[in-house]
Amino acid sequence: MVPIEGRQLAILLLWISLSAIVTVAFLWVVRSTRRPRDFDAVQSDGYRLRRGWGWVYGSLLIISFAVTIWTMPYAWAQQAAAKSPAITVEVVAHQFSFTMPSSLPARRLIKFVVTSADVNHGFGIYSPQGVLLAQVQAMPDYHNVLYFTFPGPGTYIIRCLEYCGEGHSAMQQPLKVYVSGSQATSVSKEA
Amino acid sequence: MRALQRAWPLALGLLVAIDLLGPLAFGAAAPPLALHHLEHAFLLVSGGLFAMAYVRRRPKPYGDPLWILAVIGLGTLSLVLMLPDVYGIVDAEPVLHTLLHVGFLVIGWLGGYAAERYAPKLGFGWQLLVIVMGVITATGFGSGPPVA
Amino acid sequence: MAKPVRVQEPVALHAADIGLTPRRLVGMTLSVGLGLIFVLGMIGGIMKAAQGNLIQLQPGTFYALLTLHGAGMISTVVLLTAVALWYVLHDHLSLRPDMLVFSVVAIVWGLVAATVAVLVGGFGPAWTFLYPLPFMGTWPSWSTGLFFFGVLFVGVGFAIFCFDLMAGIIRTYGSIWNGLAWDTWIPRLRRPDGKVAPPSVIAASMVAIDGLITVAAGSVLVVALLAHWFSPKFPIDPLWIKNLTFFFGHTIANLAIYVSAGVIYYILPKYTGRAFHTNKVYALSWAISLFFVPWAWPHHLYMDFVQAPWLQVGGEASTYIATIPATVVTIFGSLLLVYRSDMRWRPGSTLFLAGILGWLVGGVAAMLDATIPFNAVLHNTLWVPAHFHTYLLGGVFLFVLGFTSYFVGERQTPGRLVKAIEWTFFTGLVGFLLMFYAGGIEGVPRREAVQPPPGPILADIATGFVAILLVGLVAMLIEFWVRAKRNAANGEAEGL
Ligand code: HEM
Ligand SMILES: [Cu+2]
Ligand SMILES: [Cu+2]
Repeated sequence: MVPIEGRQLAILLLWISLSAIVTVAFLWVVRSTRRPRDFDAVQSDGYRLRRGWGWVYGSLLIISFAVTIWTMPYAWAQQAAAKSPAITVEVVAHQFSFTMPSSLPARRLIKFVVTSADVNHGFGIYSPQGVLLAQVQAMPDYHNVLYFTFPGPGTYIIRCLEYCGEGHSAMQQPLKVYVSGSQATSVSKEA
Repeated sequence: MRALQRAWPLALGLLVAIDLLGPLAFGAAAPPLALHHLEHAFLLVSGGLFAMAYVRRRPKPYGDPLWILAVIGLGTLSLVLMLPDVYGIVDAEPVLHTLLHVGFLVIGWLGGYAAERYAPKLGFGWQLLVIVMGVITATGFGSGPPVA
Repeated sequence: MAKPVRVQEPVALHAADIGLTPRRLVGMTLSVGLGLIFVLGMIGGIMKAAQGNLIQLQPGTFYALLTLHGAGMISTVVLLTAVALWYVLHDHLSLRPDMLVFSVVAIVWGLVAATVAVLVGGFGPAWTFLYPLPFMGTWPSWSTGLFFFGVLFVGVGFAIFCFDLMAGIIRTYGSIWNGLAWDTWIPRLRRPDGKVAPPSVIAASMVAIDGLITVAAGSVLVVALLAHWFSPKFPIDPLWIKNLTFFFGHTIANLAIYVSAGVIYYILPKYTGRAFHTNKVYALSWAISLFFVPWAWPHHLYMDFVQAPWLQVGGEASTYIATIPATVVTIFGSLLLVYRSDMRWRPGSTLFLAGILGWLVGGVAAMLDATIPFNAVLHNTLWVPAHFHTYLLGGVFLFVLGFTSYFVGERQTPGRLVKAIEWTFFTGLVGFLLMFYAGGIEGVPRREAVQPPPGPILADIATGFVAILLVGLVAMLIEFWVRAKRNAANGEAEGL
């Protein structure tokens, strides 16, 4: 099993708790039909509750939206991208492999410039334990820029994350990530 | 208000005439692709509006399903006429191009007419269809990726 | 102003002449559609078994089946919900059976074309057929063209449905705006007789408008692809067509839920003995849906970082906004309708209620996925099929089954047997869905013939649940069939 950590853990907990809340509310409504009452008697309370629920839900959305604006993966939203110098790495996806360096340094900001030579592909970075850390699409005629810092050394896996034809599920390759300074020569360009 | 209601076909007719005849008279170059698609949508919508006004004055029994099939067929036809392969033929010759634009006006009219014949006010549905198609084609139908 | 004419003279095809009453027509469509769902569900089970290495499939075969399953399910579910909405409104809006025949026939022909392209030609770029993959696969060129013609036919069928719905609404309420109940806000629009559209008509009006918008987008998409197929010179911008593909694909799948809402508004009151009433809140909430549903598609392109920032941010905002009417008005309203009502628990009402729960839970999962930082680790993982199977299979499809149960008549349901069927079906359903979610959290990609661990083991378990689910489904369909025959023999039709 792949460890569940980071964002995945947050997502799982949110999904389980929110689903549990709505399920409990739902079952409560279902059970209430054992004690029927007139609609008029429950309707006005219901509308008041609806207004409250509308406010709660709306606020949740606004908060979530405000938070996510600052945590988007795009270059324009990434503080790091603006500040520290990055190593530029070009990635070209083909049916069914990636042309890119086979090793990169850890704990350095990397600017992946990703494109495709044929159809749409995905560029997914999996940790040595198999956790999906980041991704971006590889689209022909376009260059997508992904800023990413490998948290530590190890053998990461680059996996295609957009269906691209018969060989899609075999489209993955290892990426050696080393501690900075120990092997700096294999990096293509410094930006 | 009343006057406006009576005057709009005239005003619209004038606009359409300028749009059709202007390029012939002054030999203007074709507008950029996006604008050109919108121009076609304008002609389609105008034709539809004329048809709706026309049918409203002469109410007819309605209801044959074939009218709806005609509406859908005409919508598709208008898209086919915007293909570059069709365009290659008419682009060089201003008269042909103007004829094609008259064709869009006619298709718009027929579409509006057919929709109204199926049910009064259904010309609205036809207009919705051509406007959406026009706006979407204007965002990139027939143009390739930007050269990087 | 000319006097409105009211003539009902179908000329081309007299549905009644060929023995097609609305009831028979709808009954036949339901039978065909539900049969198709079962077959496509079997294909789903075969895919799971292949992912779990229980059977061997060539990757090409796997992806062809995936394409067929996706395209077939979406078209069939749209057809089934449309037919259900048509049935509950056809009297009220004088909708025409011959038009329904046209749309059903067009959709079925589209499905036949797509099936031939997939099964004979091996066409397999998945149901979203993202350019340029359809032109760069291992399948023959004819299958690509045939498939696109199939999509065109499905679009034509849906367009006919929307046009006739719109015509019926305008005929009955004077304008589409009154169909949307905007007259509750704008007194000038109000009809002299004070008649306002009931909620199911409001839903139908939204569906007719957004449906036509979707079809218009779909026709530009398909004509562009067909043009490229005829002449590869025809230029296509990959980013433009990806946006267009999801504008069409997302919106049409999403609309199935809004069509279902119209059915819920009509049917749920029959079981609870309480009615939905149009008011300003309903009109406003459906106006929000009308405007924001067609703007939700950019959430499919969050991981295309070159996409314009306003579309990314705006896409998240409009996706969020589009959920408000559903959550605060339709779902809440349905639960309020049930709360302490004298609910008659029949197979139909159980299915409708379960569907609402599926809609909610799937909706929560969808919202998480539509949140950009989360999307970065969920996009194209099994989380995506997890959430949409929750509200399509565990939501919309349950509404269709619930409608069918209502349609065949709820009298003389064999209580114990139905309980057993329901337990089987829902056990299979929940287990199947949970395995999808587990795969998503574990980062297993979707659309893979061969998955990285723990995909295969999850697929093994899921296959077992699919088997249970399908057994439950068959039993349920047989029970409907038997009930339909018995009720018909007793001269009783739909209802409780
Ligand atoms: C009856 C039980 C069903 C089973 C066992 C099933 C199974 C599956 C499986 C295994 C996949 C592939 C997931 C992946 O690895 O990417 C899939 C995809 C899909 N399913 Fe289902 N499914 C069922 C019902 C439905 C229903 C009712 C709908 C829609 C109304 C639906 C729509 C789809 C769609 C759109 C896809 C995506 C296809 C693609 O990725 O191109 N399914 N399903
Ligand atoms: Cu791939
Ligand atoms: Cu032109």
